[in-house]
Amino acid sequence: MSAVEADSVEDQKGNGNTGQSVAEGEVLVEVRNLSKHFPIHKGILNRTVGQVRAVDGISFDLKRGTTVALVGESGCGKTTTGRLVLRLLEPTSGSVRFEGRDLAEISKAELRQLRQRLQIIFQDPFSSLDPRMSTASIVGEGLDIHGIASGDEKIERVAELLEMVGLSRRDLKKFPHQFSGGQRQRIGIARALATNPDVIVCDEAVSALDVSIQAQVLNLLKDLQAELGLTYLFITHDLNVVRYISDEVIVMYLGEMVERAATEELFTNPQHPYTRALLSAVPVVDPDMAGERPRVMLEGDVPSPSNPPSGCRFHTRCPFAVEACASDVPELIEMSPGHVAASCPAYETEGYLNQ
Amino acid sequence: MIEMIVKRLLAGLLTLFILSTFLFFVMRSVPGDTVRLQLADATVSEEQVAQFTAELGLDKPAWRQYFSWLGGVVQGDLGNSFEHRKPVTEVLAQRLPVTFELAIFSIIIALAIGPLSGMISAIRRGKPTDGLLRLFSIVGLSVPNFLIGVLMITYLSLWFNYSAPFPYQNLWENPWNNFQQMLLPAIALGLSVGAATSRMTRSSMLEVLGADYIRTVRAKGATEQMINTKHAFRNSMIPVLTLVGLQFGALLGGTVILESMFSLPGLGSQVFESVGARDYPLIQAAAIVYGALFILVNIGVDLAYGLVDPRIRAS
Amino acid sequence: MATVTTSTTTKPTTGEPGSPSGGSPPGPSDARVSDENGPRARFKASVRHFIRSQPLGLAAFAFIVLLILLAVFADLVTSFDPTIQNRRDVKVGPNGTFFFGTDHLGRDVFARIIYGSRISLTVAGSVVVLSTFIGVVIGGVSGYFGGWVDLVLQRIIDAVMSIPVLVLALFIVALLGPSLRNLVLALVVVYTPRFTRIARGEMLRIKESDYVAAAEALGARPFRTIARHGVPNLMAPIIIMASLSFGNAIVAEAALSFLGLGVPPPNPSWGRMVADAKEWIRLFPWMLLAPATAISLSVLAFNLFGDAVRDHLDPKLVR
Repeated sequence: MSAVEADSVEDQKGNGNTGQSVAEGEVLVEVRNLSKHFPIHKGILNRTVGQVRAVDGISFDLKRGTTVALVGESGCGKTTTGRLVLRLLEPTSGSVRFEGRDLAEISKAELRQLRQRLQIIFQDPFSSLDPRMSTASIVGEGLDIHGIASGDEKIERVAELLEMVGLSRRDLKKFPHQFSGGQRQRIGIARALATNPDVIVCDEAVSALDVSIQAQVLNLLKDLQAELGLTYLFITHDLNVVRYISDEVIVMYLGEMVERAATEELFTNPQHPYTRALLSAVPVVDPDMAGERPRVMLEGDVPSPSNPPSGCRFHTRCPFAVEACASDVPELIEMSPGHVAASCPAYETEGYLNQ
Repeated sequence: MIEMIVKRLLAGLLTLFILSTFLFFVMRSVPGDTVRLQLADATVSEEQVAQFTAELGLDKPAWRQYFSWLGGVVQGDLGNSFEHRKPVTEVLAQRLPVTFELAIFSIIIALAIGPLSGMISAIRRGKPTDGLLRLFSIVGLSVPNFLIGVLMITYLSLWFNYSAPFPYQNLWENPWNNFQQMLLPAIALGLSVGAATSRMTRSSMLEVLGADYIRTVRAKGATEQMINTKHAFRNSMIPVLTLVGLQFGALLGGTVILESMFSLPGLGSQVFESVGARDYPLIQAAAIVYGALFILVNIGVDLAYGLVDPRIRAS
Repeated sequence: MATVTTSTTTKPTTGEPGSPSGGSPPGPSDARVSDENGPRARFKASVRHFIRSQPLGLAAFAFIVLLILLAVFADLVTSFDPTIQNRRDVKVGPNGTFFFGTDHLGRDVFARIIYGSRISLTVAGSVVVLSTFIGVVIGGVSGYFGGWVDLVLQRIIDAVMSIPVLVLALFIVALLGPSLRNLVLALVVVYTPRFTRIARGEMLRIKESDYVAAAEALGARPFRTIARHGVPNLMAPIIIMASLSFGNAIVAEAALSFLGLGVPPPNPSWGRMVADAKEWIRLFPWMLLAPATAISLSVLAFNLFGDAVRDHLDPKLVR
């Protein structure tokens, strides 16, 4: 990120992407101890033989105008978390509060109303748009559902939205198959913006795009955030994207939160062994810089979320694991203001914290 | 594999149960007094009607009738036929073998002509033979089976003065007569299944012939004939099997008309009679038998998959 | 809460195909002018392609149209009343007055064939339309909501589909008494499960797609989602099934009429005519040939057309 861009972003958001703690914005979404277990059915009578513990006890806040990234390997539960926040899935336990109201306690009708303010952008540009609907219908659906606008006024609003995401009025009548992947993502963004949301969950929103297009879409998202004061929960496995777009990062492993910190702080001062492993695997353009990072190698495959390891879930692959790791369940400890990590015996190791 | 079969059988049982329950209540709730039909005599007195009703067990409320019927079924007793005054199982035992024979005969005919013509059609794709065979199959598919039956009877009688020997004789009594009696209806029934099979074989084989692994076999030097019969044909039979399973239902339906037409004392003609006579226990039992046959045949088809496709066997 | 305003911070994309760059065309009415890619235009293009690539289907379609015209304008085609019995001209062979001869009761066979087409088409048409509609509604709703209702429905469908078509229809008509209404009712009961199964299967697949999740995230009620996203996306296999069912429905009507369970006499039904003819076949073959040909040709036409529709809509088929 160039210095010029960093400055303008800083001006508009009032906080730095520079490693200081996240600014004191209003807390829009509070997630507390969120868990989601999916039952596994087998056999003739469809008995429940186990649970897939997709998400287990996640807690975080989303502050207005900021971007929180949720990162981890496939199967770590980040997509499920995103859906839980929007209440597209019912949690097994825990709570999600939006503007102080618990989403579990409001009526269905109220929830439906609230949906205008909590939106989502999907990963796959090819299945996230109804192939039989025109762009105008797709983007305008939210306006229809909530009666925000109709007729000419609706068409005008949709046209404005299309222009805002970098498409044109002439695309109103076109159908999804006539667009490229990047353009379809833009349509998806326009759809999400139609109801003036406060929070948008970006579920791997750029992962399926070519790298050059990724940059364009990411820039679009940043600009929109600046202009409209949006709050993003950005779900991704790509750490480069994270560094570019987010203010705060949450690292997940097998359904649990492993570390949370402001972006630069996380990248310059990763604490947890898993975080370090993730970071060391990120390809870096400058070969000189590559040599400076501590290389952490992981062994083995990701265990199944239906049968997570005991104690610290990461211990089966952790290069620093000791016997106690199989029995002691780690707690989240604050390493420095705003930087939280799961406790780990590795921290006691000499010289570890200073790497 | 075993688990799959058990699962299917249980599901089938449930299906039959739902079916019979549905039929039971529907039949009893529809007007058309079976009693009067049985007695077939308008001058019969009220007491006689009442007595007969009690005899048939129709005076009890529907629920009680249902449970007593159900209880009977579990013990193997399907009740007594109103019309024949005999246990239903007896009537079924008499009639079922005839339908069975007819069905098997029809399938044999269908499988004799269908896959073969489909294969030839696929091999000679685009050539006149293909066109001709496809024409035959679509015509065979379009002419209803009862019409084929009528046309056969008509023209055989008209042109050759031929009609099948009359009182029905089963396979053991008089094989030649039996064969003659079965042949025509079996052709009528088998023709449409055969036509459908032919089309399915053709398209399935074309798909297989275009597949990559056939190219590999060809590259290894196999002769065309070997390719066609050994590799392509075997692999294209799978969807054909499914089709036969599904078509079996249509075949059974056809037996109703065709048996009546050719005076064969099978389950089909019996169903027709029973429906007219409001013979509830028999109709119900017949429907269950048909349903059971259909389910069993389809389970059989799935088992056959296992024989033809080793991938499925493994799972 | 920020409001949507016309943005100037994002430039239009360049280098991405399909989207023209820059410019700001005036007014919303401009957007509605060019409909080159709307559903209507796509349908027309589809029809044109069909005409070019499916000659047999086209011929079949022409025949079907002819049949419909004959049925509708029956009284213009023939002046004879198909139900009037004419004792004088009983069992006359085909001649100038009676194109197909007369039957055993002196009725004009040609007229009966023409009027008979009304029965066949009406029954087949209403059965297919009703079954499709009911099947899509039930299957779509059941597939979307899942749960107990869906499980029970599946079992019921399996049960109904395990009885042969004719047996079930026979059963229902015999029970309720032969009439046009009962005939249609019986056949609808028989054919709806097929459509329900297809609709349900497709809906299960559609339910998992992102655009349905998006609709839910937008706050759409389930019925809206089913109607606007579900149904349009499941119609392709349904249309194929419907076009293939027409032929079956005609056969079913003919078979039931043959058995005496179709529309009551003296209404002319082709199946009934075949049954009558069977008695008199020795001396009067035309009584049989006319309805037999009528049935066979009609079913053939519908089957060919159905095939053509399927080939047209299903690009994966190998020809």
